[in-house]
Amino acid sequence: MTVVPFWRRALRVVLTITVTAIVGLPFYWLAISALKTSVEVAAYPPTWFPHQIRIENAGDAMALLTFGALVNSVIFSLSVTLLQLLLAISTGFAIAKMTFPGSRALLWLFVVTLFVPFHVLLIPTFLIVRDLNWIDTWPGLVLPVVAQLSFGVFVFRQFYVGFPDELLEAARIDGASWGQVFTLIVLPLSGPVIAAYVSVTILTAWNMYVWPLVSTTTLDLRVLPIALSALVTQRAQITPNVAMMGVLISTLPIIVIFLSLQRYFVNGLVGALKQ
Amino acid sequence: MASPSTRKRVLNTPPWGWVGLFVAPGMLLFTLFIAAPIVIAFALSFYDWDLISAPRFVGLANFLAIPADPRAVNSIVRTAYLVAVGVVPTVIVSFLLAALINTRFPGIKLLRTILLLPLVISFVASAVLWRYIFDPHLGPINLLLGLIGISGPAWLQSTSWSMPAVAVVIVWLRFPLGMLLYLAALQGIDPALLEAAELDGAGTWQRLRHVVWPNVRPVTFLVTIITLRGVLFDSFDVIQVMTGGGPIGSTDILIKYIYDAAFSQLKLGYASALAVALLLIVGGLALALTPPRSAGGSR
Repeated sequence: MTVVPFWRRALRVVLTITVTAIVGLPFYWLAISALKTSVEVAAYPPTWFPHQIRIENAGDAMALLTFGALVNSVIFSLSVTLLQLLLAISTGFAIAKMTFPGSRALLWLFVVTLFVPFHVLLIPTFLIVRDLNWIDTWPGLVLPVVAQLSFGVFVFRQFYVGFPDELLEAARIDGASWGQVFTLIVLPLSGPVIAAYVSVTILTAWNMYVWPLVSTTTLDLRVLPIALSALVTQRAQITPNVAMMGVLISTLPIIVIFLSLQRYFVNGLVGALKQ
Repeated sequence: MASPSTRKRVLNTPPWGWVGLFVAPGMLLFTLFIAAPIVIAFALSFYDWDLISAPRFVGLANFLAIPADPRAVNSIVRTAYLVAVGVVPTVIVSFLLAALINTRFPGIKLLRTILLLPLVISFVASAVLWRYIFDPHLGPINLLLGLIGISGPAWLQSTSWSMPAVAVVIVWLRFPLGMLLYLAALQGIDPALLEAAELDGAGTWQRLRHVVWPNVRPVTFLVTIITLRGVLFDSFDVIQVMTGGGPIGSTDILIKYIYDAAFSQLKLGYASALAVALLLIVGGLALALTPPRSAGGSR
């Protein structure tokens, strides 16, 4: 192994820190602006450290975003994630381990639709939901998103294809039903892939904007991204410190989840995409 | 006596009830909200429909109208521009940063976590944030530019700077995923290869260019496709909130026009034709970029 000279190592460290500072700058700016007073945030030139911390911004921002939107976002993200997990894991398992006519065609269907973006289906999906009278209802908001199964089915199929057949066969010979094989043997061994899938899906659902925008009009079903966009697109008189606090509040929960699930998240994302 | 392979087939072939239980609920939703919309999207593109009066079949008229529609032409040009200033820099930044952080020193874990943070923030939240960061008076960008004697433009109010500003946000949002993928690929390169190159007198840049880069080519393809998809479709959120397609249509990309045509102007047939055209362009690009695959690539 050749020895890397000290100055080259030092240069690399300095470069890494500089780049990280540039990438992280918007987050720093977000944090300090969210805590500034309305006067300081509008002062020129802008300050790098808030002279005076105004924690009441949080209350002001919540009043605009509304507590209801926060609750809706939690319900929306959890129901999308749980339902989609349930459907994707069972379908993925069936395609990988059950022999039945049409299973290859199903796999092909999911792989092809993996490349069809939801935006292209926006208009027809809206029409179907409208014809079901589901506009401004929870099923109309949640189910079309749950239906985006291609990625999940693909991820779980890839995982279960590598799963040892002997294990399942032994259980089957001992008389276990498919339901028992799945719940008692397969699920307990699927922890990491489930964690990876859940972390990616919950993030996607929490940040989803277009479908809620199209499928809901009432405040009762408003999720955080919609409330957040209203801060800048509709009410020009909102001061930047309150708007930034709104961004911070709506982003913090997902940052906390990300930090605690980072390992699964990273492994899951890289593993799923590299297949 | 059944042969082992037959026994295996029988064991793995469940009764239809079990197959139905595992597959049917997902397929039901998938058919209703993915498969049916795909069919309807294609069908709608041959109709003229405003949601209120009865749909009228117009054949290829919607598609033929696209080249004569100045907003459509502008939005296609703007989309191509965003792809050029968004996708290529994302791929390059992803690769360079992955190469940079593929090392160990105290604190690298924290730095990596910070570099991954843009992956977590929503497009809408980041658009709200960056609107403010690009503010010519209140934001840090022109403040920093001022320190080195540059008087920065009013980014989002300028027809020539608004798209580069959007591209900066897109690169910022998109590079962490590419960086992760490149990092995984870099860690799979045989260190002996790099050492051999170094013994032959190759410098850092030469090793990066001639040893590392060719070895991560499959990842480059993957990152390009993912970023392309993201730029073409997901940038709707960013543009809708950050610029609304303005000023004067300078960030009016195709997906934004499709949305407006459908939900503001209620031209559902025409919007569907635009969406189908976009899908065909993406499909064509993906096919053109796909490297030839060896047979049996289903696993």
